[in-house]
Amino acid sequence: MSKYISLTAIGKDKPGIVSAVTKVLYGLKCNIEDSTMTILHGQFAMILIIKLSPSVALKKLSCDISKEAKRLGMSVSLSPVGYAKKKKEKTTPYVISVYGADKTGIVYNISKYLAEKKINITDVQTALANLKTGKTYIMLIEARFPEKLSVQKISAELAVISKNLGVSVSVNRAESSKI
Amino acid sequence: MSVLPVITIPDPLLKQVSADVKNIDGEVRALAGNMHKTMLHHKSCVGLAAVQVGVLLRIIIVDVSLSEKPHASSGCLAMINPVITHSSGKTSSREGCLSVPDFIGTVTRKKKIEVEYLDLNGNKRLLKTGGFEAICIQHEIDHLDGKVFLDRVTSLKTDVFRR
Repeated sequence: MSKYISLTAIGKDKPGIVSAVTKVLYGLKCNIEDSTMTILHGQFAMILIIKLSPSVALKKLSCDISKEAKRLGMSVSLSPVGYAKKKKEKTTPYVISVYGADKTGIVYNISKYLAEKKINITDVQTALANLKTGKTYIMLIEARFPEKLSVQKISAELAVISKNLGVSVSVNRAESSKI
Repeated sequence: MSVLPVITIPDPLLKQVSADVKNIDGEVRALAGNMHKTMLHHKSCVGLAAVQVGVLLRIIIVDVSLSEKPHASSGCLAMINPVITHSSGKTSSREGCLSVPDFIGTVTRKKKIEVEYLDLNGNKRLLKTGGFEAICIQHEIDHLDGKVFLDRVTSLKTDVFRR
């Protein structure tokens, strides 16, 4: 039986990281099912979901990847992925934009509110822009709102939280683009 | 004419609603001239709203012929008190902004618009346009209403972020 494994690795960015890691995976006939890889603050971060080949033991993969990670100066972690049965609750996707002068607690205070409302965050992107006027923090959240929630009410309540944080917030229906 | 400094987020002026221009006098024409010069100063800048140079008046300058890619263009437009009277369709595209440097985002806007405005001589004009020019005019009118494109982002997956 095939097994799904999560592989996360992070270390100082340099050319050759992706090829070095995927060479190990390819050599062990592991398929990359999904991934996101990016540079965060100069660190190259990889998150992969891989399908373990039936003929390869997790231990072998773990051993080979660890060796390679050590050579690359990266920290790495592997673990089996479990899949829970999905509850089918009706939700609608929205994009929440938050931006303003950088300070500690923006992510926590916004996400705490969303969690209380059972709004599921599906994607977060943040960036810090060093502008002439000072550091500006930008956060874009994609989240699924339970259908019974009033978007106007959520927007209004987020506006109050944002005002206290000194940031701007906007809620827009996510575009499900069909091209 | 001079190039004016452009303000960037989180400058609170960008969240404010601009006021209608009452008299199109020499001062307003000089401001429009300076806005035009400022727009030309920034490479591939195709539009500017007065608030971006720190003036809370409903004046925008648009010239999509300055874009790196070719687009249907009505030439250089200086619009005073612009109002979108009709609009139709939907279109998504990537937008950037001098006031949100280094970033782009996918924004959904109306495909075709009709805009009523005053020209620099105070004459009432009506422009029917679509495509990139319509997107640009909507982006600039948003500035007059205290909005930047970040307030209208509708997708993270397709392409958001660092230019």
